[in-house]
Amino acid sequence: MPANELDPNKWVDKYSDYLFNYTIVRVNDREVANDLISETFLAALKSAKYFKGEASERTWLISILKRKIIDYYRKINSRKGKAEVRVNYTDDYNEGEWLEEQVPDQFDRTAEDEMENNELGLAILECLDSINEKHASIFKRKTIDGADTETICNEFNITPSNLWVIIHRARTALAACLEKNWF
Amino acid sequence: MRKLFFIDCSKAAECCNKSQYKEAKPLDKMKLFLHLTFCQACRKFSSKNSKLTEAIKKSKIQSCSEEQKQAWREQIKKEFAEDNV
Repeated sequence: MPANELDPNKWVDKYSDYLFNYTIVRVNDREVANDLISETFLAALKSAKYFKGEASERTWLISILKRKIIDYYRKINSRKGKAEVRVNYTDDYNEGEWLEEQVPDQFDRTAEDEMENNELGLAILECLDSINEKHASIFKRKTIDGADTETICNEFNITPSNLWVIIHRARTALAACLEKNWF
Repeated sequence: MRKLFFIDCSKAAECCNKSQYKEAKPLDKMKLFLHLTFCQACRKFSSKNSKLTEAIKKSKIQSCSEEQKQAWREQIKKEFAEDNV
């Protein structure tokens, strides 16, 4: 029996936030991100029979998503015509030299920070995966969506003191998990 | 008098959690600070807790909308059912 099995009906609850945060920093557009994730789910269902169970479900979904993101950039690139490299050689000081036009460096420090923070976000979501499902969703509503205590209590039909106990457990588990995997 | 100002560790933890969401009452916060001055375990918890809040803030995690999730769920359910006919 393979170590990991697929359970498509749980994909959205388990991985959609993870996939979304992975995508959003790479395409920077919510709608595009959502479309890419839809395509990923469809492609995953189609190729589910090829899943060998060697990787975890999430790793496997991410590998499909990566291809979708690359395809997306290929498509918009070919729509523009090929990527252009402009050259100018009539610079006062470097006359005759063919210099590529200066391109802003996309990988400057802020971009790197951004990427690292995104990875931190993914690590947090990964840790949330390993705690009690209900606790995780209550924690997400409270911490990530910033929903009111009262709203969440109504949604999950719990009392405020239940909520704070759940938040406490979730935070403790999460802190321990991050301590192990990140800090 | 003691009861008025001194709280136990579980109350302190609760207050600490609430203050991560800026929902602790000023008086409770004061009691928490007092508690932290003599309780090392809670000091440790409190610093970890703030670190977690900081990390979450820094990571800028977003969640996708519930409508979008529902649309995906239905999409998967439909495709999955078709594949298994």
